[in-house]
Amino acid sequence: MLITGLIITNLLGLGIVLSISQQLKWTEILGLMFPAGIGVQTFMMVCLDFVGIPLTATTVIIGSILLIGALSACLYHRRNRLKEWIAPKKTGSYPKINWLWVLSLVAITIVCVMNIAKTMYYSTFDTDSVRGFNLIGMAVAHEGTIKNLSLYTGANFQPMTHNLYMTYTPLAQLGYAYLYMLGAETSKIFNALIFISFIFSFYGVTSRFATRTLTALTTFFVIITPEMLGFSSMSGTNFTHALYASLAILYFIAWYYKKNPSFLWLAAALLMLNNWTRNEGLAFIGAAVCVLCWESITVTKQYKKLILFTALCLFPFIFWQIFLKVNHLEIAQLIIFKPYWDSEKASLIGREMWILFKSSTFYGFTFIAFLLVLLSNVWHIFKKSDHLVTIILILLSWLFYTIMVYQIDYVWDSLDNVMKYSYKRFMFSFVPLLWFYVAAGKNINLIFEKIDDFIWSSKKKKVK
Amino acid sequence: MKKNGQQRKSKPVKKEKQPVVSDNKQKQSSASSWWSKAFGLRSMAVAIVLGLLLYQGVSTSASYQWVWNNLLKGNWTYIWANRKASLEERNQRKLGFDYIYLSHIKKNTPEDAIILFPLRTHITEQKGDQKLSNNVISKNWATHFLYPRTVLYKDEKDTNPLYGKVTHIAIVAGHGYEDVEYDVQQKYAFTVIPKTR
Repeated sequence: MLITGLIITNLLGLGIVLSISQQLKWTEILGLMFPAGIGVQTFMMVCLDFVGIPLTATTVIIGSILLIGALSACLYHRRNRLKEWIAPKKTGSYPKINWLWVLSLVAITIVCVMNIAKTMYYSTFDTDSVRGFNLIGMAVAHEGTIKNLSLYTGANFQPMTHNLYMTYTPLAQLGYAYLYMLGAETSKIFNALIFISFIFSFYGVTSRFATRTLTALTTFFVIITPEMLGFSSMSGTNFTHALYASLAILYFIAWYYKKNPSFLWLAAALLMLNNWTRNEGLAFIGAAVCVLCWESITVTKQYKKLILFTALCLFPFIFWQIFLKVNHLEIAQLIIFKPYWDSEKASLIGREMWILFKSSTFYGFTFIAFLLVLLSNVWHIFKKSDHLVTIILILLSWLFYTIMVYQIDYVWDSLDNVMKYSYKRFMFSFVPLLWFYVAAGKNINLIFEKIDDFIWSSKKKKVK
Repeated sequence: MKKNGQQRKSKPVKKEKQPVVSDNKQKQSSASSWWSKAFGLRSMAVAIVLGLLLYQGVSTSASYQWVWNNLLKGNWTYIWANRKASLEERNQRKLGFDYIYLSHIKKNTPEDAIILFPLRTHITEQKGDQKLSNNVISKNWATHFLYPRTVLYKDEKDTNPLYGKVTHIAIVAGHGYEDVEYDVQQKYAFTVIPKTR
């Protein structure tokens, strides 16, 4: 049952990904299948619950099969484009094995296998998941409902004390619920599949901008980022969110620089799921919308795309808020919408952020590598606007993220604790973006192109 | 971004790196060309030099050392040595006495049980070698391991409407016997017993 359920999730994801874009590499498709499939399935679960259909393995699987059928019909209409995509392409072969690339892939595989072993060995043990995400997953699977869940509506639980997790958008919780419905002993296979998906998709999208050696090396450095690797084997939502948020921004960048419209809609789909995973995903939507808005005003002078993109990205978040309101599952508002200035709060955020940035304890070489590549590219940035949009997107997302942290009313914990223990996890979404910039930087790519040329220097010619 | 539409359109799009192919002579390979393809001296030299440089950089960083020694190798060694352990045993090793105690409660109560835990201070102020962690005072945390059973604490006497419907008493460090409505002959420090006979 579990295997069948996971195959259906992946088939659904495959249908979604191929419906959006027929220009993806196989690594990207392998990487996006599960995240897209489980994202849509969890959205469907909320819709089923909204209309009063009980959530069971049968109803979710039947719903998924119907969706796969609809997507297959859609893909059948585009069969000519699919045939072109499936047709074997003349990519040529490499004259010699690039051993640095092979070594990097071997290192990635070793890290991946060891981390997956750790993920699968233990069931959920991290506090946030035990108290929240995994508990909700277990309860939804047992009770077959979200809106009438005993954890939310029972007399034994008080909203502000026990139900803070209720306000979190539900992708991970319902993903775990789906696995429990399928009979899984633990929900950790979700985290293992997300980790594998991240490696494939990050490698795939980065390889559009960098040599394959550089792509493999940066993928390796992303996955060995200490704090991120540690948390990737737990059931918390931060790593899952990092996958959706970072890939969304990377496909947005791919749309901007490669001029492929399908990447914009892939970015929109991933931004929807980023916000369906965690509320703070709004920061990444804000950054992408700002850039698209600028593009619409200064370049295209057309606003239809901007409006559709923004509406799509915000739809799941708004839908979730409506779901909570209609079913009387709201709790006290935690966000301060009114602008204000609290110098003590601002300086505490600044101080703790600086501690995180200057230390390599949590993020390894991430910040130093980004800064070095950024400095080496200053000339290209000012003269040729090289990856200026990438830098703007990273900085805007980070700025919006920090503003959100500042605007939250910390009634359940102190800001000091949030900055010390939570903010470092919030930064996971930026780690892949920073390493992507390292890989896409002009000068470092020139160096690696020279290395590749050196390796294959004798008797080579380009494919025409 | 400052440029107008026409300028942007005319801006050359960065070409994707084209793979290189061997020429025809090389395609008609012999055993020796296969050997040179697989073990090209330059490719191996680059891999060794850059690999060593990266290894040097990574191995001198304390955080990457922690990743390799503790997170990856340490866990792998442990997992491999204990690969035959059941999920129950793995959870016991990870969560310690908390898991052993809560599993005992789960095994000895029906799914619809309403379990009363002692005052939270009695849980946090336990003494001795065998004691529960402070995680157990979190209702959500304890519920995770006891679900679908209902968990409540003595602190909720005046606030929780389920208090009068308690079916079982969780005994923590000897606390809780005062809520049992019959005489208990054999008293254990940590156990669960029905509230009424």
